[in-house]
Order: sequence, then C-alpha cells, then structure tokens
Amino acid sequence: MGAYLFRRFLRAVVVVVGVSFISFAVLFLSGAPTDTMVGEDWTVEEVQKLKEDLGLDKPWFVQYALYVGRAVQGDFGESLRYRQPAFELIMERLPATLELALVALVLSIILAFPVGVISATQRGSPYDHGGMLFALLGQSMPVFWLGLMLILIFGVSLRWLPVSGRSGWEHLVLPAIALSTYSIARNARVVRSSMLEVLRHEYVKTARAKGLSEWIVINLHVLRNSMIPVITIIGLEFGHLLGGAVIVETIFSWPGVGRLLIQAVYAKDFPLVQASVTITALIFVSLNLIVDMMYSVLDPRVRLH
Amino acid sequence: MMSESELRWEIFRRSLMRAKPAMLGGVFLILLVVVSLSAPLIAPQDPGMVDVNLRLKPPVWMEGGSASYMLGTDALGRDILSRLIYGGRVSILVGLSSVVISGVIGIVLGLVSGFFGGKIDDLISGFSEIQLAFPFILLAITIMAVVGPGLLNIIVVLGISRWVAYGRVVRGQVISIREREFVEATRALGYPLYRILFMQILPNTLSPLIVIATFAVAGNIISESSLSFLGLGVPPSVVTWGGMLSEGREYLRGAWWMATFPGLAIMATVLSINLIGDWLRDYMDPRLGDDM
Repeated sequence: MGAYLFRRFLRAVVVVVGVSFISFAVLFLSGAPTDTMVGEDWTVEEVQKLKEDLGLDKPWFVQYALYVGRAVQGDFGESLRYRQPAFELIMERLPATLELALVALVLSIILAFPVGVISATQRGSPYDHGGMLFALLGQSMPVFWLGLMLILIFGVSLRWLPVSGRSGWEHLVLPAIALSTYSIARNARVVRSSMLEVLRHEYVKTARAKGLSEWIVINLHVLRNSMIPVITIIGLEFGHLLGGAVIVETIFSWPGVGRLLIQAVYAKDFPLVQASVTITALIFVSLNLIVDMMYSVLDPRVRLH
Repeated sequence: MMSESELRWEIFRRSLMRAKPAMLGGVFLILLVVVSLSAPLIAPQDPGMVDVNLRLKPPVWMEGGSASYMLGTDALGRDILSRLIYGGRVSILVGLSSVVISGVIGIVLGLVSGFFGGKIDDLISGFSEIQLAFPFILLAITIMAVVGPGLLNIIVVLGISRWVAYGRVVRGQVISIREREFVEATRALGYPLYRILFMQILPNTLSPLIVIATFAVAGNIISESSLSFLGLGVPPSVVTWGGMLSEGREYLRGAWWMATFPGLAIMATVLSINLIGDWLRDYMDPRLGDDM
C-alpha cells in the first residue's frame, strides 16, 4: 500500500515537472515579452538593459531554472496587462471557477444517477429511451452553443434569469446548466452501462431467486458493485469541468480563471497565460492523484498494477 | 458459396441495416459530405457576398423573409444557408485530417512503446501522462495562442493533442500479443521488425482504433468550432460554423437565426458520428460496453 502510494506520488511529481516545462516553453516560444513593454521612443540600449534585468539574455535552461525557482515560491511573474502579480490575479478569480465547477459537478451527480439507474433497471422502457436520447443529445451539443441558446431562451425571450456576471445564486443557474449538461449525459450512460454489467452476474439472479425484493436487489447488490468505475469517472470529471469552464465563463462573463485566461490570450499577456495554465494543470494533477489514492483504497486490485 | 470476405461484408451490411439510428447518422453524413464537396454548385448565394441592404433578414418562414435567403442573412447581409454549406467543408476537413495525424502518432508511439518496453516505454508513457495532465481544451488554447489562428495550425494542434488514446490502446494490445506463438514464430523465421509490427500486431488492434477514431472525429469537430468561436481556431476570413456562432453571439437579441443554425449543424453532425460510433463499438466488440 505504502509503496504503491509512493510510486504514484513520484509519478505525479514527474508530471508536474513536465507541466512546468511545457508552460515555460509557451512563454519562451511566444517571443520576447519585452515587445509589449517597450515604448516607441526606447533606445536599443534601454531594451537590452530591460532584457538583462528580466534575465532574457541568458540561455533557455538558465531561464527555465529561474522560472521554476520563482514559481515554487508562488511568483509567476507580473501580468503585462494588469501590472500585478499573475499569481494574485488567479487566486482572486479561483473561487468563482471552483464554485461554478463544483455546482456543475453536484448537478451532474444528482441528475446522472437517477437517469442511469432508471434506464438500466427498466431497460427498453420509454424511460430508458428518453434518458438515452437526452444523453446522446447532451453529448453532441457544443457547450458554447448550449450556453447561447440558454441565454436566448431564459435571458432574452423569457427574461427569467440574468445572463452575465456573478452576484447571487440566480447568476449561477444558466452557467451551471451549460457546464454540467455534457457531464450529466456522459455519466448517465456510464451509470447505466455499469449497472447493466453488474445485473448480468449470477449473484444477482441468486438474490432474486432467494425472493429478495427488487428494491433490495438493486440497492444492496447492484448499485454498490457498479460504483467503482463511476467513482473514478466522477473524480476525473471535476478536472474536465475546470477545462470546460473556460468556454462557459467566457459566454456568461463569469469572473473566473477561464475568462481571465481567454482575455490574457487576446491581450497577448503571456505571463498570465502561463500562470493560469500551470495552476489549472496543477489542480488537475492533484485531483488525479487523490482519485487514484481513493480508488486504491476502494479496490485493492488496483495496487497490483 | 460466398468467400470469407463476402461473408464478412454481408454480416457487416445486415448488422448496419438493423441499426436504424446508425443508418440515420450515416445518411446524414453522406448528405453532408456530398453537399460540402459540391458547395460551389449548390450554394444558393456567394457565402462571402456582403450587401448591407440585405442585412439581418429573417428565415423564409418569418415575416420579411425571402426564398433566396432560406435561413436568413447575417449582419453583413451574407446568406446563412450558403455559409453553412461552406462551413461544413472546414468541419469535415479538420475532423478527419486531425484524426489521421493523431492516429499515426499514436499508432507509431504505441507500437514502439509496447514492443520494446523498458526505457523507451517509460519515456513515451511519461510523456503521455504529462500531456493528459492538461485539460485538453486548455492545451489547445495555449498552443493556438502562441502559433496564432490558421487552418493548418488547428489541424496540427488537434492532431498532436489527441494521440494518447490511440497510443494506449495499441501499447496494451502489443504487450498482450507480442509473446504469442504466431508473433514468436515470425521473429524466429527472421522477418524484419516492421513486418511483424505492421502485418501482424497492428491488424489485431484495428477494431478499437476504428471506434476511437470515429468518436475523435466528432470530438475534433466540436473542438475546432469551440476554438473558432473563441477566435483562436480558423481565421474569420474562412467560413466556419464556430466562427458564424461567434458572430451570431453579438446579435442574439435581434437575429436569433445567426447563432441557432450553425449550432444545429454542429449538433446534427456530431450526433450522426456518435450514433455510428455507438453502433461500431457494439459491432466491433460487444464486450467493450458503452462506457469508454
């Protein structure tokens, strides 16, 4: 157990080093960040001086080492647009993104389970067909289009809900629905197929043959055993939701890290791009690590691999 | 008597005939490809033709609509239907060609990784894990931000962002069959390595690869349109469904048709591909279930 966790942790460290390298490469390849800082009246010497101050005259591996050294202290450099430390800007907006992703995750769990369970236990019924039709549509809809349609219907036509900004729960409704739809659709299918898989087993037949009520068979024998794949997927889901938040935040002007990233991309504010990508990836890696650890506790067979 | 290949084809054909949703998807896709390929012949209007006198015309069934502009016009007076027809070309082109790129990268790295094992395997597996540490859309946005919008750029970026799925499947299959007798026998006979890899091992991995590739076409179409919507995909001079949606966003209040129809086109295309993918998965390997 300890050895497995240690190996898993080491792998996460390697991944983090890789992530830092890729995000460093982004800034490095994007050209000199001084281009946007230099005024038209600057002399060649002044530009050279600025590059030396920023360490940009050094070879790439020295720059990389300097970058990592600063990053571990939470120093991701200064945003070119806001003239503020990038790390601070991200930390200010992180709660909004986490709130949106968390609400979407909860919605996804609450809705995907009943749909999946009913579809599986009443296979072939109108409920099953309806649920799976919803799942298919939900998986085929681009999130930005769904977002715009929600704005069109509930914001513009019906005027029920606000369509931009963040203050109060009613601002959260449309973005959370837009962000969670794909995830609900996919999880409903996973729950359904995972349950169907378990329902095929002999011990389910035995339980039924013993005369146990269908309620007990489903709850005690089927649901429990179909949870392992579902738990893994839900754990990883949060990470996917963080990625999807980039688009949803942009559409609904939700003041989170995703919108910050897109604005930084438009403004060619590469230090800020670099910092938001790195921090999101770090959250993603930590989540994967936690999920793997939980998984190894739930299912001892995992540790053997 | 039917030969073996004829028999296989017959089984394939009958299975497809029974799968109505997949048939429906197939028919839609064939239609889409035909319409896209013959776009210059069948598009009612020039998709780039700007005429401010015609701006924001509603679809034909609404008051003020005109039969020459069935689905209405955009803010510059361009015909939505014609733009949809041309936009389909980009979706198909990007969807298919980026799948080819990721397929080739994934297959080669997966074969090498699984067959040689050891250090090379560690290196390739480590690299794929690092790549998976980025939420996909984030990685694509970051690279597109550096290289800039462009048709070729987006194809390459989507191609290199999605190879891992293929790599993992191929690697797993190679490991499970490399010690089997028929592979060992070929090695003992002194056949060159590439022959063993491509003639014996690869065909055994084909079914799951086809299924992954099918869903990846759908995924790439959504990714391309998302990036174009954000202004980071294909430049606005090329007509794309994502680009049309992004323009329509500004006119949601007055001209709902600008954003609605391109989205429906994306959804119908992706849905059709997914329906075929679902059927293919059951057909190729019923054991795979539907939770990939």
